[in-house]
Formats: sequence, C-alpha cells, structure tokens
Amino acid sequence: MSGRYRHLFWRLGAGALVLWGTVTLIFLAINLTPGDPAITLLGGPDALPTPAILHQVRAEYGFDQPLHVQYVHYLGRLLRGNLGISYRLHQPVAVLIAGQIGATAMLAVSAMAVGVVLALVVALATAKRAPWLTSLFAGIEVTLSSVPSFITGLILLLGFSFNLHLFPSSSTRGWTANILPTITLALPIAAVLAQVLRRELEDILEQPFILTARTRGLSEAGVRLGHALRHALVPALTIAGIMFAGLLSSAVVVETVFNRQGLGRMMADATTNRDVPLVLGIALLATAINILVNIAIDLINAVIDPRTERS
Amino acid sequence: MAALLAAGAARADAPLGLPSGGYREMQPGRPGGTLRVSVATDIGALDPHALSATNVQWIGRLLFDNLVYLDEQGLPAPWLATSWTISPDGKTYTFSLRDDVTFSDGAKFNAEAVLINMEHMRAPATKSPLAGTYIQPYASGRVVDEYTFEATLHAPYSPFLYVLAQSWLAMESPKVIKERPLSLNAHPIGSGPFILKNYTPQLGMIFIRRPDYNWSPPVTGHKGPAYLDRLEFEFVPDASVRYYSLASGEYDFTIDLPPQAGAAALANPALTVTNRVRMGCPNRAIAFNVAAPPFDDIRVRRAAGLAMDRNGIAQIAGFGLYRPIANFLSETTPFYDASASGALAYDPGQAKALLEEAGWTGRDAEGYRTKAGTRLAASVAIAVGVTSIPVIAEIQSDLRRVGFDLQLEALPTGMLLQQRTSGQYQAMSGGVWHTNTPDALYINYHGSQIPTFHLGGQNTSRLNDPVLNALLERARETTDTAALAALYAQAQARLIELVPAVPLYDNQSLIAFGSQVRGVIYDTSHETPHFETIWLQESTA
Amino acid sequence: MSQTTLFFASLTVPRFALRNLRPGLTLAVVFLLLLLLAAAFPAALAGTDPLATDAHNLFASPSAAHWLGTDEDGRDVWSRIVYAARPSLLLGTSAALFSALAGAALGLAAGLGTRFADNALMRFADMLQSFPEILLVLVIISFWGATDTTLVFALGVAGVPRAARQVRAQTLGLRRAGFVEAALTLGLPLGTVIQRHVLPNAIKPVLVLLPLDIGWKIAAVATLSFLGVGAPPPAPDWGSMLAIDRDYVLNAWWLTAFSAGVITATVLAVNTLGRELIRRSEGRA
Repeated sequence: MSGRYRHLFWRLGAGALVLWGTVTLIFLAINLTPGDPAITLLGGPDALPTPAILHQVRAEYGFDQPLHVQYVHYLGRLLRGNLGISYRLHQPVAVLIAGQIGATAMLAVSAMAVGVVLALVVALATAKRAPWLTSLFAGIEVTLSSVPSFITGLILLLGFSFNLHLFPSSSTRGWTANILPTITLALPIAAVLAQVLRRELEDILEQPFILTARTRGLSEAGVRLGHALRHALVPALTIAGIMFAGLLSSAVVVETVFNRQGLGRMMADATTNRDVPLVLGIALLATAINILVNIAIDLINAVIDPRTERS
Repeated sequence: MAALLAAGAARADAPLGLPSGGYREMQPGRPGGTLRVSVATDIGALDPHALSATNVQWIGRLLFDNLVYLDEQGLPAPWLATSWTISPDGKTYTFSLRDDVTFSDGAKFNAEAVLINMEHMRAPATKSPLAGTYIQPYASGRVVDEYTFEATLHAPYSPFLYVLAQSWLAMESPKVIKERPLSLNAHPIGSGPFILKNYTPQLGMIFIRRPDYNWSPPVTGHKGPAYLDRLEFEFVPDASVRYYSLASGEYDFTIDLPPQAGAAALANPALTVTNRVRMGCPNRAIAFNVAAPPFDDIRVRRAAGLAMDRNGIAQIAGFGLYRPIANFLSETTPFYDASASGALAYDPGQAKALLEEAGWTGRDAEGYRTKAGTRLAASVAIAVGVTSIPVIAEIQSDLRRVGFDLQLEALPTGMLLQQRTSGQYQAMSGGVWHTNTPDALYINYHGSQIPTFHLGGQNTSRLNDPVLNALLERARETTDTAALAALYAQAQARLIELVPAVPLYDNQSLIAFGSQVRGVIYDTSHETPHFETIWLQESTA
Repeated sequence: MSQTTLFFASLTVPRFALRNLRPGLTLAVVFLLLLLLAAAFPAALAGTDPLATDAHNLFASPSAAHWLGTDEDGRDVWSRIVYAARPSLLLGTSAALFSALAGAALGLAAGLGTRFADNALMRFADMLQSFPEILLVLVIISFWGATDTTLVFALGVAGVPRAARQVRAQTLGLRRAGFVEAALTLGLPLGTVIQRHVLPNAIKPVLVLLPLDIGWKIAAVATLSFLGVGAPPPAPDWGSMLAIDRDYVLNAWWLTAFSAGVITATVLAVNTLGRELIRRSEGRA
C-alpha cells in the first residue's frame, strides 16, 4: 500500500519539476526574443504614450532590470500565488482565467462524454460484424480523425447555422449554442476511440472465455457488454485520458471557429499580443492539468487492471 | 463604381455620400425596451483614460460625459462645461461647469472632479496610451470655485478643446479615481445615460438606463434620460455571423457591419445601413520610411503612390462602401482642402516614368527594375493577424506592374514594435489615425512624433520636414479660423508633395439596424451611434 | 489527432486488410501523385499566375477562364490551390522529419546513456509534452515570427517527446539484445555498433509512423494558417486561404468548400497511405 503512495508522491514531485521547467522555458523564450513589453502593455502600435509613462511602466514592471532579477521576482510572486496582472486586459491573471475556465471545462467534459459514448456504441455494435459494415465505419472514422477540427467546425457552422438556421451561431443563447462546438470536438475523439475499442473487442471476442460465455447461453449483447468490454477498456481509457489532456489545444481552434468564450482563445490572443503574464498563467494551468490527468490515468488503469501497475 | 458614387452623393448617409446631419434628435421617442447589439471585438478593459481602442468611441458615450462636445460644424460646443474663456496668450482656459451633474455612484461633478480627472489622465500610474498624450501641453489646473475650473497650458495648444470632446478624455467619478483607480477597468463609473450592469470579457456587456440622467450634449437636442431600459451587447467576431444574426433578427443593431455584407444589407428592406466618414487621417495601408532607401528618394515614393490603383483597393477593402481618397485628411475633417488631391491619382504610366528618371532603368530576370545591379525592392512590416491581407496583396500586385518588388514581412507584435522604435524598416503597415481635429497631421507627420525607445509616436514615416513642422506648430498656436485654413491647406499640399505615405480610402463607421430601431443619431466627434436617443418601435419585453 | 494519439496509432489500424479498402487506397495514391506533381511542377497543372490580381473581377464564379473562380483579390483560385501544394507538403514533411530525427537523437541518448542522462532527458521530454501542442507552437511563433524555419521548428518540437520515447524504448531493449552483445564481444567499436545495429532498429517505429505524422503536420500547418499565425501572405497557402474565405462566405461560399476540400483530401490521402504502411509493417513484424 505504501508503495503506491510513494509512487504517487514521486509522480507529483516530478510533476512539480516539470511545471518549474515549463515556466522557466517560457520565461526565457519570451525574454530572449526581441520586442519591448512596455509598449505592448500600453496597447501596441496604436498607443501614443508620453515618455514619462513609458519610463514609469518600465520601472514598475522591472523591465529595466537584469533578466535573472526579473526571473527571481517572477518565481517569488508565483510561489506566493500571485500570477500577476495581464498586460493587455489590466486585470489579475487569476481572475481572468477563473472567468474563462468554466466555459472551456464544460466544453471539454461534454465533448469527452459525447465522444466516449459514441465510440462505445459504434464499437460495440460493429465489432466482428459484416466486413462491409466494419470497413464503412473504419472509413468514416479515418476521415473524421484526419480532417482538421477547424474544417469540421466550419462545415457544421456554415451548414447548420446559416443554411438550416437550426442552431444559433453565436455562443450566447443557452445550451443549444453548445451543441455544434461539442460535436466538433467530440467527433475526432469518438473516431479514434471507436477504432481502438473495435480492434481490442475483435481480439477479445476471439478469446476462449468468450466462447465459454456464449455456450453458457449469454446473449450477444451480454457477451459484449458484460465480458469483452472490460478488457478492451484499458488501452481505450489511456488514449481517452491523453486526448482529454490535449483538449485545450483543440479548444483553441473550436473556440475561434465558433467565436466562443474560453481559455483556448484567450491564450491564443495572449500569445499573439505578447501578454506575458497571461501566457505564463495559462501555460502553468494547462501543464498542471496535463500532469494531473496523466497521473489520474495511471491510477485508474491500476485499479481496472492491476497488471498494468508498475513494480 | 462611378455610378454608385454619383447616386450616393445625393443622400445623407448613402454608401458613398458624406454625412450631413444626423447629429440631432428630430422627435421624442417612446421609453422602454431592450436593444440587442452585436459588436466585432472586445477590448478587454473599460477605463477610457487607459485605452486607445476604437470601441471606446461609443462605449465612452454610454457611460460617460465630457467637458466639451463638437457642434454640427465641428466646433467646440458646451456639454458639462457650459462656457469657457481663453486668455489672449492662449495658455489659460477657464471653464464654467454645470451644477446639476452627478456620477452614478453619487459623487458630484464639479471643478474638483475635473481636476482629479485631468491628473488621472496624465498620471504615470494610469499608463494612458492616448488621453495623457493628447493633453501633454496641460501644465496645471486650479479650482477657482466649485463650478469654475481653470486649466493652464505650457504653450498655446488650439486642439485642446477638441481633444476634450473625445471619448477617451471623458469624466470619470472622482470618488473611484481617488479610492480604487484600477477598478475602473472592470467597473467603470461615469455620469453617462447608462450604467454598466454586467461585463463578461469576450462575451458581452449589459447596460441599464440611468433614470436621473439629464445632461445630454445640447447639440443633440435630447432632454432627460435615455429611452431604452436596457442594452445588451455581444461580441461576434465572425463577419458573416454578424450579418446573418442581424438579418435573422437575433440582434437589433450591429455597430460593426462588415463591408462584405454591405450589398446584402442594402438590398434587405428590413435593414437600414449608415456609412459615415470619420475625421482624421484616412487609411494609408503603408507608410514609407523616408529616412532609408529606397524610399528616401522622393521620386520612388511618388511613383509608388501613383502606381496604386486606389479605386480597386477601396473596392477590395470596402466592397463599394469605402470612399477612395487621395488626401492626408478626410473630407469631413475641419480645414480639409481638396485642391491638391488630384496629384496622387492613379497613373502607372507616370509612375514608370518617375522610376526611370530616378535611375531604375534596368530589368532583371523576373521583370523587376534594377539600378546598378540592385533590384528595386522593399519589405513592408505588417502585424500578424491584424493588417488587411487582401489590400496589401493588391498593393503588392500594383507595384509589381511597374517593376517594384514589395515583400511582406509578417511579424509578431513584439518584433514589429522593436523595428518601429529602432527605425530598421523600409516600410511599415499603417492604418488610420482618427481624431476630431486636423492636428491629426501633427500626430502622424511631425518630426517630434517619430517613434523611439523613449517615445511611442505615430510618425512611422519618420518624416522630419522643417517646412511641414513649422506649419503644424503654428497651427497649434492659433485659433483664428482664417489662419488655420491657410496653414492646414499648405500642410496638406506639402504632404502631397512629400508622399510619406499613400492615402487610400476613408476611415468609415459602418452600422446597420432593423426597422424597429428609431432615433439613431451620431456622435459629432466619432460618427458612432448615440444610444440615449434610440427607441424601439414596438417595445420588446 | 495529436502527437500522443499518434503514439497509439498502431492500435487504431484494423489487423486485417479488407478488400473494400482497396479503392480507397488507390484513390489516395492517385491523389498523392497529383499533389506531388503540383508541388514539383505547378506550372504544368495551372496555367495562370497565382499572384496576378484583378481588382475588377473579384469573387467570380467558376468558369472556363477560371476553373474555380477568383478570390478576394481577383486571383485565379485553381492556380493558388495548385501552387500552395509545395509549401504545404514541404513544411509538413520537414516538420515531421525534424520530429523524427531530433526525437531519435534524444531517444538514443537517453537509451544509451547513464541513468542520470536518461532521467534528465525524459523529464525534459515530459516538459515539452505537458504543454498543450498548439499552444507550444503558438508561443514559439508569436515570439520568433512565422518564417519557414520557425514553423518547422515549432511544429517539429511538439513531436519530439513522442519520437524520443519510442526510440528510447527500442534502444533500451536493444541494449540487452543478443546480437548487440555479440557485436561488442567481437570487438566492434561502440560507434559502429550503434550506427549499424542499434540505430536502424531503434528508429523503425518512428519511421513507421512518419507518414501519419506528415499527415498530422500538414493539418497543423493549415490550422496555424487558419488561426492567422502561419506562413505570411500573399504566397498561396491552403490554411490562410480558408481563413480569408471564411470571412467572405456571404459573397462566395464555394471558396470555402475548395480550400477545405483540398486540405481534407490531402490529409486523408496521406493518412490512408500511412495506415496501410503500418498495417504492412505489423504484418511483417
């Protein structure tokens, strides 16, 4: 028992190290590239600040100090829980992130749920059936996992919202506006998971113990759901977990296509505008989520199938 | 295109007509209702003193009032300041203020409040990217008595009253400025006809009427509070969605009608489209760095200017809704002088002749001109994701036709700003500069406004012409209209002679709304809509 | 599809080749050959200059003169799509190769090196992998600009941890393999052993996934251009064409269909080919 906790402790420690590394890398990247953060802070090319104001900004933010001094100050603030204030939006980064995270999280969770359910249904229904059925679905799945998500999103947006006027195209009118973005995110997930699940199911359905279950009189559905599924879950769960962690990236695209509020778009805007504190803040959050999700996947896998647990 | 121009000139806000009127409320409206408005982008913060963004032009009028408002002729007129006197040396302004104005948090508007606001605009802690600079000649202020404020300037500065009418220099609650100035970014408090009820970044804003508002600018002719109970703004960045959602009735009003939807909107009988030209410097797409080759040669600059097919570019950018213009001030700016405009008309033949004269007589394998083996080439730095690509592509193509190789360098903001301040560029993408005075020319072309590490200026042409500098400085010092007309006429002529940039099409405010929306009037400084006079034909619940 | 799912790509390929996939495969190969032709000799497929604008013929419908019509600057769309093939394919392939080679180098070093080196390198790989891919790319491009080099680097870097892990796993296994020990006992120098025996075997899984990775990278290039941070204008580029066409759906909706179509078809074709290669390599292995 204590072995598992020690392992968890190690993973968390390694995770903290990774977080530190990420922050440092980005800090370096940002500060070693040309560009004056002071003018960016003041609004970029459209700004017309007086020299006094420029000087003030530089002094206040410590831009005139040597890099290592700035770094130490930044780390110090981070450790105290202060993520700083966004250059462009003039509000605390923590507040901004908290404001946007809800929308993205909801999108991610619902996309994951829809994707998983869809994958389960399709895989269970089409495993070990007629070859033409399997190849048809395989073809659809390959297409869906190949098409870049911004294209799927655009097609759905243009098709449904404009021509059929079924779903509102802007992001604000209640839950119906979430349907299209969720589907866009869910489809590639469903496509990949369905393929993995089907392949595993087909392998498992050939196993002797399945034959035993059938001869005992269990129905086809019973066989698939009751016995085969559990064994097929491990690799599928791993992939699902990894895809969930990667959803923030996909969210950037979907949020841009559907013009939704969310962390992804905020991050994209922050990077193009060189809003350093916001970029660092979101990067930290995304990395932390990634690490936690990876740890969670390992734990869940260990519970489902103790054979996968590391010694 | 020409037919559209001719037909448009007759009506007040026809696609290519110039705005005439629309600044005054014609008849009272009916109170009640909620207006749903779509806007293209969110600025992210709401303190006008700390912003230079375009949205402030109309947000400012919702939440705040100013000391001064421009009248229908474009001259300073009373608003929160009922009258003023200017000392003979032009350095002291004494304002008499209204005594019945309060902010929505209960604070009183008086001379003390004005003083606090002026200090806030120029305080380094506010980091003002615009307001602070516009009042740079302001030296100090004095509370003469509760409703009299005296402003003393370092030097005479004739744009002073004009800039005080712009939304970025609005009057904010002195109580908030004193107690928690940073909160103004998320919770702005002003004396305006509406109060901000809710702001969700990237998503939308909700405003509700302020019931005791009674100080609309006299020029608007509006009395009492706004008619609408509630305003719901939503940010809709996608151009097509902004049009479709208006046409389908999802929104009543859009402040940013995309020009590509112009034809559809005009053809739609349920929609009204208005297209108004803003004051200031028109869109110039590219500013030449006159201090570096090849644009240090005035013949090359002029040739580039003559090679650009202005009508075609305006069509690409505006789909027939943007006016081509060949002058450095827009037609609606005071002291606009049309006389020299023809000098930059599209003439590729003349452009080629000029280039030949400048010595670019050779041709290389790809057809571009050369001089002593070097190709006639320049690169223009553009901001990734910001500049209009179709316009630049057309300019590139136009220049190619006369043998000039213009390359694009798409840079992230940081690198772009770096180049700007160091002067290491041959040409830079340059858009519009909107302001309600011809002093726009000073801001864009005076030698003291060249961007450097210490000064965030807008003179990206790095022009430093003593003749032009003197004209613009003298214009700042005098308020005599005859003198100003002469000085600005000479300044415009000089700019057309020097061609530090190529003006292409006007900076226009393009809005559209449904037939249920009535009473729309426009701001005299910014040409954006005023919302306190708007009412709905049928009150929506 | 992200780099990490690429890692599990072999799990998504059906074990048994189905006859019905044959037409799909043939189509894919034909389309890719056309693409390669477009990339190598665009002038052969498209007669018009992709950069020639015509401000008085904007958004023309498809016609004999312009097979796919004209765009927002009056340029021939067919021509732009054809000429955009080369940069898309080049960028995608270079980025995929970068991932493979840099990842392999990292993986080899980790697998052959000391435990400390292994740990350090893998923690570095963790760092890269923990950061969301598109955001990593955005950060790199936003700060260093969107030149061809930075794009290849930015896209390639995202795939390095995955390739590194694959190579490392193989290398660790090979370290203890019989034939490697035999070679060393026979007196061959370490460098030669690595070069001749370890490297070819260690890099196999990476090579197998390379075509799929190229497909992913091409999609990523298009996505970046769509987001506005890809290769700079006005050179034809599928992603930025789609991004601009999207704004003009009101005026010429068919443009969106063309640019979206060619991106999808390319990625699909490359993926189909890639999956076939995986299937064959597994059959052999």
